[in-house]
Amino acid sequence: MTTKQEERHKYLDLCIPYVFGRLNPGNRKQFEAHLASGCEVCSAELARLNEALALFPLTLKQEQPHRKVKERLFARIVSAKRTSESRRELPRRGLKKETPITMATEAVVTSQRSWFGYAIASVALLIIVALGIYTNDLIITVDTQEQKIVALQTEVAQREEMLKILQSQHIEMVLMNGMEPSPSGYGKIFWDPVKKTAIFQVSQLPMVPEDKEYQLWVIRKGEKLPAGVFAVRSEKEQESYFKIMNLNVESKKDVEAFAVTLEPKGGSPQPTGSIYLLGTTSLD
Amino acid sequence: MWLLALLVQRTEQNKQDADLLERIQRKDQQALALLYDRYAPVLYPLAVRIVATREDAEEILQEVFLQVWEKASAYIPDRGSVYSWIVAMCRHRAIDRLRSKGHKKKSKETDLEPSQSVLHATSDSDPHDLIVMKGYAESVRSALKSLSRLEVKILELSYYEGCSQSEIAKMLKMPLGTVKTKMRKGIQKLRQAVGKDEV
Repeated sequence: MTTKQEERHKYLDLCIPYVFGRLNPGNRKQFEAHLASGCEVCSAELARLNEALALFPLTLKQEQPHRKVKERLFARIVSAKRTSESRRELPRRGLKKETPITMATEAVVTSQRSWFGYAIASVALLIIVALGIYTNDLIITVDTQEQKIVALQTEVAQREEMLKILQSQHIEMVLMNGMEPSPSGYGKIFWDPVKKTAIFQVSQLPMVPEDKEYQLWVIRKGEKLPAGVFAVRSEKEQESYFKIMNLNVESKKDVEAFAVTLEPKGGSPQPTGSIYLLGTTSLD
Repeated sequence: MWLLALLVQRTEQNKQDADLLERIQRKDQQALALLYDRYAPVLYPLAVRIVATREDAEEILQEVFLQVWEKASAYIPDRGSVYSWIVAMCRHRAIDRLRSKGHKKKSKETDLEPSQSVLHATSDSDPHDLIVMKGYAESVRSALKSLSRLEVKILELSYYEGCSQSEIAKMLKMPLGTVKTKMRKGIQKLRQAVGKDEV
């Protein structure tokens, strides 16, 4: 092995501990410098390792986090944006954050030796406390408003996505009817077979307990393929629940039916519960 | 042919992810929401598996997508797909939290039995993803079947517990060289699952 080959071999050996995050800071720095120098061999090796290891979590049972996690994420994004904007605004406006405190301190110092001074200081302190409470209320109001803004932004974005799907030239649709457990339920799927995006909407389905979820199935050549889970957990969702999703179905001719069953939370590899909605492509 | 079809689907998905990332760089919140919907059901159980508490896992999930939002330009396509980049970020954050002072995981398996988590896989995100992911999960499971229990255990200790090769050698009372060889072999077999290895 030549010196150059040995050198390359040394770096290849570092790829595995690097992707596992187990290189010491010195070796890590050296390895990253080597990568930055443009070594295609190590970059390709890293790509292969990353791809292989990224498959590992696929063996875990998939689970949708609570929807509040997403709401909090977007609230943090909006809040960070607002903070950075207000930081830019403050110097321009010439505001001083410490102004009320400075005023109060000055009041205490100048009237220290007289009753009048104590009275002024007390009033100033009361004003500060009142301002504090008022500010706190304002912060709560702003947080609530921000959450509403995030919810509205998400809704607007969803509607835009829906419009894009509905504007498609080759839109396909299948209606789903309520079955025995929920005869009043109904649903529909519109999808763009070219872009493979879909709008899935259901109404009048019973609310599900925490340990259960509905699961959508695509029935293709007699095979039941899982196509996502969802839960109806509020009256609003019971009235109408919809989601935008990808759907790998090219044409109605490709599938025999769509069905919705009630399954344990997280879904099942094959249907185990009762059928709540069924839509056959032949009837449309 | 089946593997080829999976690869074609996966390539298409990578392309869609790269498009979403480009939109995220332009501060498109809808793109981030779509990426979140696509991968949160995979990342969340991964974080739970590592840190063992749902509160921590939820926090990690938010941090990962905040990082995607703020540092989308840091993604280097030559080092793997968007999916693998996000998974690596999630794993690193979870392992960091696991190692952080004061964090106590409920249990730590040190016997040779792989955990049950690798033995089953289900999918519940949107249908297109599901078909792709389902196929991949099946490939991984079948690849895992060709691994010895020891190889799976070593990969699990490394991947989910963040153990170094020396720590694993000590834990399993075996030479460091054996751990390195087993780990390399295990990863090589896993690579076969993605159909990009010459083995």
